[in-house]
Amino acid sequence: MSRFDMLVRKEQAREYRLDHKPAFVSRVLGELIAQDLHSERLRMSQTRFDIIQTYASYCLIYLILASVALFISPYVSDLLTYMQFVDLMSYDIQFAVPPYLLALTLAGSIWVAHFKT
Amino acid sequence: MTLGGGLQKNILKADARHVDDRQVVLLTLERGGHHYGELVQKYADFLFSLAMRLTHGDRFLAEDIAQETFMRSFKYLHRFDIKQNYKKWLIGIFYNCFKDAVKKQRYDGALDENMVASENSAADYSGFLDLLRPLDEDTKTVFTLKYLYEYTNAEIAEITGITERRLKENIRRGKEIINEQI
Repeated sequence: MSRFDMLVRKEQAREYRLDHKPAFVSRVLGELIAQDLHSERLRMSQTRFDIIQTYASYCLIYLILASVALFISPYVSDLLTYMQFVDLMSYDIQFAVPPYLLALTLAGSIWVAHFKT
Repeated sequence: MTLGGGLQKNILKADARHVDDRQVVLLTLERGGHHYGELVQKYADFLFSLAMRLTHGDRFLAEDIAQETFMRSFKYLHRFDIKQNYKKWLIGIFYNCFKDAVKKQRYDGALDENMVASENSAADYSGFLDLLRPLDEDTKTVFTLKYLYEYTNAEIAEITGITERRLKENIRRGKEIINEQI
């Protein structure tokens, strides 16, 4: 048997034990349970934050869509007038459905569809 | 982590005192941290021994590393693959904690003092630990797991995440250093 093997055997035979195992175990457990409670609180506050964030993002999407609708409505109106002027449209859609209302309805539909999913 | 509903129910019905590591992990995940005490109780001395060997008998540091290993393993318990061996997974976490502790000590500049302290205490320890002293952390861990705990190269690679090629290189280099001392 080489000296290396002998030293390995000797070290394998040696036992190391914690001085105060029950104290060590209860200390670790105390920390674990504290961490457990902390993560549970964190998870709950995270859930609340997620709900608020979701509603806030829906509101933001709605505001953006409404702004876009308000912004494009004069252009849509002009386009419809022009289309009527060059006889591309045979009927008077311009007066049947105001374009901004059309754009707002579209934005609202997208928002509702997004909200439902 | 997936298990059949029936098996999981049976495991949860069982008393934590008579179940294996995998079942205790499931109990902990299902019912809370207090069940983890079973595994802490079971592996405290094992991790402490491993830490004592790698830190050359620094009891305070060894206890800290063992404690940190349990804390970290509990934190990442949901990532534990139920098909895996819990003890090996725990040693993997221990290995990272050990490396972090050594890094922290180097950063704090406390390593040299501890080395001196442990050198004094190491007089009582066997010569094997003294042989490992000049080795870096990776090689030291590899040698300890291979020769003292008799893990295979493949198992050590799985535990530590070191590639088998690098592992063999570590062993070769370590043997050269150890042979010089012997």
